[in-house]
Amino acid sequence: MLKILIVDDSIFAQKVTANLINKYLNDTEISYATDGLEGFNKYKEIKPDYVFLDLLMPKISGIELTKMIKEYDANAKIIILTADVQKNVQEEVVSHGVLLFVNKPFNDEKARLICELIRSKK
Amino acid sequence: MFNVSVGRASSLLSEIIDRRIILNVPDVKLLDIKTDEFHLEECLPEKSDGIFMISSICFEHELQGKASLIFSAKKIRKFIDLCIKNDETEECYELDFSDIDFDVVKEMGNIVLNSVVGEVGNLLNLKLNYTLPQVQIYNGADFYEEVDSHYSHILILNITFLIEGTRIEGAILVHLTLNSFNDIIEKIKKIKDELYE
Repeated sequence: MLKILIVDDSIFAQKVTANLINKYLNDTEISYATDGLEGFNKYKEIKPDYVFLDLLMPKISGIELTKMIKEYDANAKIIILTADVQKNVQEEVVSHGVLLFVNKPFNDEKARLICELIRSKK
Repeated sequence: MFNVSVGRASSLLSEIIDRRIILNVPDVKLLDIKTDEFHLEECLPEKSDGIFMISSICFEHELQGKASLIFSAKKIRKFIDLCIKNDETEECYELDFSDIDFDVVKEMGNIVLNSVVGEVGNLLNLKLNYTLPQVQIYNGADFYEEVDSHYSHILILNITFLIEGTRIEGAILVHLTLNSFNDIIEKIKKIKDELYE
């Protein structure tokens, strides 16, 4: 069972992400958090195999959460899903050791490629 | 500059709703808040009833301003249905929106506005920090009253989405402080000078 945590303040975005992951990966257990603080607590509780993380969120931003998770677990596999298209933001986030930086919208093609990558790392 | 960023936003919207979208070339107007008269109703090409659903994000750091994606409230239902792939709803003019509707518009606004403003930031090499996006229903006058007085200029991009035969008119407004407006002009001038050196 592959444990996945989706952290996004939009329930709509959570559902789109989860549906697409389930389309390309079997046997997943998906958990959700709607802000950075809840995301960190859920990470410690669940210890997910992969985290799909938005950047612009209440309480703790995605960048801060990335740093916190990486400090807690240097091997954490974080995939950023964000609407932010700024190159400097991408460079900053990637420097914190995330697995992938993907611009929203999350669609079929992006989901297929990411899920192939996840399957190949199993 | 805005053709590039709005073009990208259009392509993102196509991805979201999985349908081909034709977006008109944006008609860009620049208003000086102190001297030019501004009515929100005039931002939309179609005569509206004055009720709007507006998704906004503020940005700060190297530019300060507020970007808003504006749709006539009576047209937004179709847009929401397309986003959540609900093909069965009929034309509906009720202004009764659920939390899910607001969430969908907030997320769509976030993606489109980040694309428009973020691409401008990329082109001008300016870093921006965003506040959380917000969605509200306004009548035109309320929106105007709420606009922060420290903004000096408004960029108005009239946009029309043609989504497989469905015409959805909207507008993007970018409010800028005087300093930010001057910074953009200065940056553009510098880029032009470098190009023709």
